[in-house]
Amino acid sequence: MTTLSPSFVADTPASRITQPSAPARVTATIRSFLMLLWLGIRRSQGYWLLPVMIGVGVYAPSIGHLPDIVLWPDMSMATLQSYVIVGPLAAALAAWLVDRDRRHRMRHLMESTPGSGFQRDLLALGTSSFWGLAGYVGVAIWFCGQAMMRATWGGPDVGLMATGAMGVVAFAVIGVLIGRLVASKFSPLLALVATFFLTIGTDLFKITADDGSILNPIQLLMPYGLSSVNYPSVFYRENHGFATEVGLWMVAFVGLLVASLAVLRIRNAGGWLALSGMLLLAGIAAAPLINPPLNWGPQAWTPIDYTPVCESRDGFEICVHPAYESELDETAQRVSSTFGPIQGLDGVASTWNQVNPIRVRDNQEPGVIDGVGQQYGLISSVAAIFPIPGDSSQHGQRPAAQVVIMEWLVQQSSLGPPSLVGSGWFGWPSEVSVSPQDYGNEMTGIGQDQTEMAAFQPRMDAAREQFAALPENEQRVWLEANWDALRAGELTLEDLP
Amino acid sequence: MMAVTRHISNNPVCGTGLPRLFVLYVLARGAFRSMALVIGVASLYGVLNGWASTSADGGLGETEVLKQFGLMQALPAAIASVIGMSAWSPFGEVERTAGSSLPRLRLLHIGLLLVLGIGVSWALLLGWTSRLPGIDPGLVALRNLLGMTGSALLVGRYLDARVSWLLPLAMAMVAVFRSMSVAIERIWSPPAWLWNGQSPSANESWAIAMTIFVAGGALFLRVGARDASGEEE
Repeated sequence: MTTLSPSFVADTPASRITQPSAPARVTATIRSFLMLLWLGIRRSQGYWLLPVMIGVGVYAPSIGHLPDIVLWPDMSMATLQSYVIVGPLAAALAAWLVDRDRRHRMRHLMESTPGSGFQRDLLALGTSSFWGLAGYVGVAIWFCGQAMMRATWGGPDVGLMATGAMGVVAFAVIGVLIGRLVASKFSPLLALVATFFLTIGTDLFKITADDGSILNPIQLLMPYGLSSVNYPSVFYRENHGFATEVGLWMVAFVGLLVASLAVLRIRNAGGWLALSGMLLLAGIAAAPLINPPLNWGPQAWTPIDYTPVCESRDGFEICVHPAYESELDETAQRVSSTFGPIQGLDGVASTWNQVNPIRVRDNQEPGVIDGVGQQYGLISSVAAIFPIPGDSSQHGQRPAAQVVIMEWLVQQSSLGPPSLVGSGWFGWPSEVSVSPQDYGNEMTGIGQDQTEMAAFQPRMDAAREQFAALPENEQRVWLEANWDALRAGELTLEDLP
Repeated sequence: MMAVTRHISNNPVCGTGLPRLFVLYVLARGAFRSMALVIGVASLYGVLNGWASTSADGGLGETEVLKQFGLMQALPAAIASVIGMSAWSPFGEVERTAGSSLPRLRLLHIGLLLVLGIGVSWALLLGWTSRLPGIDPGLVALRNLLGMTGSALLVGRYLDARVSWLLPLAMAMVAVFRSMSVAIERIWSPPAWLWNGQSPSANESWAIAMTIFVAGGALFLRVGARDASGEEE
């Protein structure tokens, strides 16, 4: 420290030695922090992570999201889901950076300097967040670029993408916390595994209430879990504001984590006060999200209005959502070839509408297509024509004659793969008994008797091939004569022609 | 210097000091902690067996296939990361210049950890209730552990041993994420480059894994992990 020379002190009146004003000090502090942050960003190894973040971040969500038809909601969701990759990597980087004083054997030296330890933690947080967000933005640019070039429906969902960005920052704070608490070269590994678990733990630990609503806090409070519950659809919109409620919660969550970080360094009344304040805020923000009856389920959806595009073919009217217009022709062809042989019969609709897949699962109604442009799209449409008899529905069983005709119908569109037949898509034949199954390791259940099923399958295959070999008019005559009995489940394999 | 090193390492009298050197070598790398971690991570196969084989409601659904698939990715990646990170040398250039028998010491050190990881994993996987029809979990775990160890050593050779978790865990994350996004019957048929997600009967996956393992292992034995000097981050 330099001391002022006696002559300077003597010559300068006390009034002329002024302290900088409070705002000027704050500005200077922020300015020096930002300069340090920029230094940290440039000197850190975060850029090594960028290719991994962008490459894996683009690849992983693309698996389920880059079909022939690109929709903005899908692309926004894919961007959000990339935080599953980018977030844990940012957390690992944060744990790595925050441990650097110890790694360089400078911990005691740094502790003896007047600089604040909390500020150094914040620098590590800022640096890792910067590189994490850079990776996330890279992924977002790729998916939005895809959408801009190819999307047939919707617009960018900024709230969804911002939620993912907040998730990356939140994971970076968790990384800093782990790095501070576990001073080891293994702390980045721990941070990466722990935060990755926070994303997929959702799907592996399902906790549901009796009415099917989800109770797993990870699923309810983490962006990935929310994404698997609130999947954006072109048919429905969520009633509760995804962006506002989740956004508020994520901000409060990050605040809570930063406050915990501060308490590790600053154990005074102010630190504890900040922590309890943030805890309260996070609790308030989380309350609407962990109260399932308010938010989940069909009552939380509002249909989005649209004018369907339709095509008439062979006496059928087929309508799809305008976003799927390019699939209309193929869908119409599949509908007409699958349902052509049973056209006009009781329970077979003449108008077929594409609906939200989620709705089909809830109530099977006639004339509904769920998976446009998908291989298995007509499975549930065929199943809806043949209601499962009530007494055996608990094991998904139906008479073998029904299964044979249903499999034959699906084969008509010649788009179903051969493996479709006999795979139990339409339930199991009630001719084969169910028995208690021992799966080993003291696990039992009720299931189809495997040996009996293997012995029975050839009979079903033979019946289907025999029916398929009949001339078209004979098939039609038989179907018209036996239709009601077939649907009621009164026919056996022997009754088939 | 090379001649001197060769002289010392070839000298039968100096050679008897190898056990002592080995003990010093593994102590300097905190090998006991690494061994404990390898055993700890591998024993998760046993600890999580019950969880991965049954769902909360006692059913045997697709979730169990996902859980077991996930463990076959995550645990080998974690073991490989620990092995890769334990390859970090605290002495750097000094040891490289003055040390003798380094390849042998590296082989003993990494080999010990690897054998430990394989042994514990294999023993515990024998007791598994597999939900993966036609798939031997032991083979998947072995292939993934070997390939991922190779990739961890490669990262350690070219970047820094302390970030060698990067590649194995990225591979595991991709495989797990993919398995959760595809239909259950397509789980074992990812694109060819995603070798760690392939069925163990896919020969290419073994070829890729063993190539990575041999390349990473040979490079590490010859040259060791990269020296990241103290000033670098």
